[in-house]
Amino acid sequence: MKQIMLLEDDKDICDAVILSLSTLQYQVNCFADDAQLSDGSAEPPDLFIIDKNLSGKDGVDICRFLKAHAKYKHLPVLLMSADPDTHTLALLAGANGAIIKPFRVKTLKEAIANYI
Amino acid sequence: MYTEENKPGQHGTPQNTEGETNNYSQLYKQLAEQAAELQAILDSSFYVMQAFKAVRNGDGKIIDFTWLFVNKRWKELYGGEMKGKSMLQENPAVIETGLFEKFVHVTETGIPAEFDHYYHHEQFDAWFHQTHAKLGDGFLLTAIDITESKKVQEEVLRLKNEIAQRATDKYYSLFNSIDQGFCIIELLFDENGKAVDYRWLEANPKYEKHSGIKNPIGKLGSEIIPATESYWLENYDKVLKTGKTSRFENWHEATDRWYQTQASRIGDGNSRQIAIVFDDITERKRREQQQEFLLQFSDNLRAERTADAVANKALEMLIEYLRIDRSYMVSYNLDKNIALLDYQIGNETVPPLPDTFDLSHYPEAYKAVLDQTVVIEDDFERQNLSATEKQNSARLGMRAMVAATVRKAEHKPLWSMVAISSTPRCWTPDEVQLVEQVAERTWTAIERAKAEEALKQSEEKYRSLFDSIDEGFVVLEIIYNEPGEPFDIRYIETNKVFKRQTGLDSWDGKTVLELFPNIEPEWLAFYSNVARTGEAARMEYHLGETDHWYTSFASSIGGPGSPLVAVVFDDITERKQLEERQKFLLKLTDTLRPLANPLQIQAAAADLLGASLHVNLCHYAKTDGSFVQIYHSYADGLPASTGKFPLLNLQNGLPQGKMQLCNDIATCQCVSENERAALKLANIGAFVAVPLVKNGKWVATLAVHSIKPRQWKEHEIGLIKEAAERTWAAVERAKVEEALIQSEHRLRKAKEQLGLSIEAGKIGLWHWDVKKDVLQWNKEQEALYGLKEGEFKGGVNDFLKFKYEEDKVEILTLDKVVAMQQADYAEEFRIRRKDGEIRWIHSRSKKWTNDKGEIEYITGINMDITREKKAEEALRQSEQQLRVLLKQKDEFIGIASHELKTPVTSMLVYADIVQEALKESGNYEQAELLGRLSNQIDRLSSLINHLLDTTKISEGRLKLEIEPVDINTLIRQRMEEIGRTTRHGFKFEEHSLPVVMVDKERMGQVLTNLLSNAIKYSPNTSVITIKSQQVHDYIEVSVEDHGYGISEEDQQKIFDRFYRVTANKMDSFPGMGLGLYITAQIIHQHGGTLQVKSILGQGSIFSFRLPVKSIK
Repeated sequence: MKQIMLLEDDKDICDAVILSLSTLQYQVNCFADDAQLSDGSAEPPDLFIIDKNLSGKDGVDICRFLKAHAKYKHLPVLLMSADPDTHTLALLAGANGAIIKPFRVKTLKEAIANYI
Repeated sequence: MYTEENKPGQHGTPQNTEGETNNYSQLYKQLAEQAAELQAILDSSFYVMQAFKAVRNGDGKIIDFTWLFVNKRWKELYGGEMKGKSMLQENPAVIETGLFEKFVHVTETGIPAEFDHYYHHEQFDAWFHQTHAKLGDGFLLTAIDITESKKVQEEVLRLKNEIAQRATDKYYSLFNSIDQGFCIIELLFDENGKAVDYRWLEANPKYEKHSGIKNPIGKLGSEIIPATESYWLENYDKVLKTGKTSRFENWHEATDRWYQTQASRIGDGNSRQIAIVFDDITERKRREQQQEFLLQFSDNLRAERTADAVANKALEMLIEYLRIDRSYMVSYNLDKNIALLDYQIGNETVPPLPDTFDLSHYPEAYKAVLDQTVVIEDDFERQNLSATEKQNSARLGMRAMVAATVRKAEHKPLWSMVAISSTPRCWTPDEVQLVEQVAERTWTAIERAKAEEALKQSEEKYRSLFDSIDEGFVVLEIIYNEPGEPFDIRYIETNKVFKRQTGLDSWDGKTVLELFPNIEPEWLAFYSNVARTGEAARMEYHLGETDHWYTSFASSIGGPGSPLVAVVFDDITERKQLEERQKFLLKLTDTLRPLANPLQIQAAAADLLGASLHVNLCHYAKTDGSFVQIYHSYADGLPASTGKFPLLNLQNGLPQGKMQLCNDIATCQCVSENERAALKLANIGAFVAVPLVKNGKWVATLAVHSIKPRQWKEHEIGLIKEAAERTWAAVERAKVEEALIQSEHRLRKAKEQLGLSIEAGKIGLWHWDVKKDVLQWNKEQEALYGLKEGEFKGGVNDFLKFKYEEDKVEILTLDKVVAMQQADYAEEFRIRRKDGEIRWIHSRSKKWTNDKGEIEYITGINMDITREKKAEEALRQSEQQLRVLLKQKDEFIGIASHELKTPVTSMLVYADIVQEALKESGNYEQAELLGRLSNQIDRLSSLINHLLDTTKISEGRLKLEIEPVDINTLIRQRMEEIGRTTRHGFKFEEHSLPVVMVDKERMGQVLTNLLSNAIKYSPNTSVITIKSQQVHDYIEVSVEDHGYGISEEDQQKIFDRFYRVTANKMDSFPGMGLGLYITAQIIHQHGGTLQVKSILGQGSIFSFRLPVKSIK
């Protein structure tokens, strides 16, 4: 089963993502912050989805951190945000792709399927 | 679970006899080992252990025990092997200590026992904790020496007793030392249970002192106080039965003292003992009495009306209460060092003191009174008393004294209250305090009385003012109904002027509804509002009957909520008439100012005046030789008379400027009989005619006429005169203007020459001879600078004096002129006029040169542009405010739309999930409904995107990601996407296009916006045509629909933010009016243009152009 690590501090969105991917062979682990990443303790998943507006932390910074970290840098990262310019931001952050909020389940699945 | 072969009992049982001896010896060896082990275990115990075997007689009764063994601990402590020895021989004391019995008991019954036991026989002297347990036909005794812990326990017990003893001691020491009397009695009952007597069990010394009963202990109540009332016994009985403490106070006549007795039961309900606390409360009682006295004192003083009466009453009461011989009040004048005896009362034993006496003659001891209360118990005992002083004191008859002073501050005594006794007296602290209190209260009462007297005087003053002021004055009371709403007003007081003003005499006590049943409700509202809020208010009103104006100034009496309102009425008719006149004249001037035609001016003036005065006819008649010319008449009830009329009478003074006034045609002497007849014929009853004489020439007349005789009022006449003046002035101005217009072509010529646009009346002209430095101003120029005609003289420096001091603007000067290259020169600057007013001036000039090219003179104009400047400034400010507001709005939208997206995301995903689930379960209808929900959420999110885009655009944050794009492909993609959601058909007229560098996403947004707009605004047609082509260096894409179209007016605005077209037939379209704004902005950012061509009712074509060469 593929592992997806989702950084999102809105519990409803977490639940929505988990639920919408539950029929596929994805295991979504949701975290409200990047504590596990910054200390390097998290086991590398198959894909990261990072929300841009985490409380107290900019998702763009987390993307950059991941792409600079030996343990994670080879892994695909999707930046998620309500900003219509998320694609640009994702590029700037070194992320592999972007998901713009609000999104449809279909869009989400397609975005993920591109990378794992 | 045991098997047959392996029963516990069978284990180790010999099965044959072979080698038995060997086996036994081995067995014994094992047993011996086990015994040794057991001994070792027992030996290792800290406890003393002994095992005994019973010795029984022939009857089987235990008569002794013998030791089976003792452990090592025993041997260590007591030594020796005990095995086989008799207990009774070794420790015979076990019989008398009862231990033997216990040993027998445990052996016979097998019930183990455990106890602490003190054993001090034979070799033992210690506490043991023992356990007895049956062991065979005997017992095992385990013991441990617990003497140490026992000792500790005993010490604790001893201490406990000691503390208890100490508490008892303490109780007694308290018992003996407290101030309260304390005794314990026992109540005695007869055989019927009735309390009949009591006996003292204990009594402390104070009890004996307070009660006067000596050595009561053991004695009976009936013995000591034979006359004890049955009340006491009943009371004590009740205390015993209920357990409730009883408390009472009684006065002992012989000693003049008060006692409080408190009786409470000792122990439970069976107790017959009562503790009695007996307290002398005389002091407290006296204080209470004093308190009562002081209350009475204050009450009595309050009843007195004057300061004198208060003082006398106070002294009287003090003398009576303290049973003193004289009392006086003395005030001080420290500047003159004298004391003034304001009041005194007393008997002959202490003779009266003089009214004034020198403080230097005062005994030193007395002088302290200025700052503190002086208490003298016996004046003769004072220290260092000189012979004279003794003599004086004796003559004064004062032996004891309390003098209390009321002070404003230190060394600032107001006055003292002095109590004198002719005999020595030991003043109690309470008595001293009483005098102090009395002094304080008397002072307060006197001050109050003085204040009341003053109030009474001011009341009288008020009364005289009330009756003498020129204004009408009324005190009203608002009357409220049950729910507390005001519904009427009562006149409480009315002054003479008010009565005169109203011509009505009997007001007081009556109500408004009684007197004026039809009064307007606003009066009640006005006065009740003043009463409710406590805020004064003013109201002006007109009384039709008298044609007078009044002002009513109402103020609350007693503050908010008080029903009383004071009202001052004033006749302001004169002021009002003045105001009315001013208002009329202002209106007249405003009306006439814009009029250019003299005839129109005359007509307007006549109309205004006629309507204002309510006359029947009014006209402005121009004198023309021996005729008068009337162009227009204001007519109301009379026929308008216009045309040319011959002058009937030149002797009436009109040509000389004398006004003609007639109140009644029938009786008036000012008209000739011919005129009277003519006027009567014209149905005129009264008139006023005001002639206008200018430069000695009668030029016109303003006349008003009334059908009925009318008493023309002074202010009305004044009004007519003023109106006549103004009308004439306006007519003259119009004539001048007309003349100006006539000469316009000349002016225009001059204007062209100067290149100036001259505005008549506001433009000043100047001429500057540069070489001579002579500056000439025309009168308009002088007027601009607040100068009189001909007032300006001098050179350029005299002009510069007017320059506004704070302005940095450079103004044309001599130096500048030399440097001046261009022919024309214009500038704006501020001046301070002669009257101090600051104005903006626009100046333009032209230089004139001689043949050598030297500047000879400069001619220019000045214009007052203050108003324009102010308007400009106001506009600039409001623009700035608007910009700030817009920015705030954008920020708000940015944040709000971002926040909106999070919940929208959840909604959308959940809707998708549920829709999927419904589809899977075959519930297609509901899945379809959820699909609709999702579409709506999509729309919502696209609206939010629009808002976000808008914010970005206005903040300049819209960034483009440029890449090579084939616009035709993009169009096809978007057409396909949108085509799935609409019944409209798209017709794509495609021409080949070069690849352009654009933001693909944003350009897609543009196409989607244009396509969905076309669909939205053409609901009744179905074809939408899209065309793409290259035009020169541009590619052009157009989207055409055949829908409602857009009006020309709307076409100007559709690209604005939040602008929405309301289509015909009141159709309204959802949306925020952002789509086209965003579209236009995206196109602009790509360096392109967006256009609309539309005809209302026929459809629209939106087209955009993008440069082929890419944007930066």
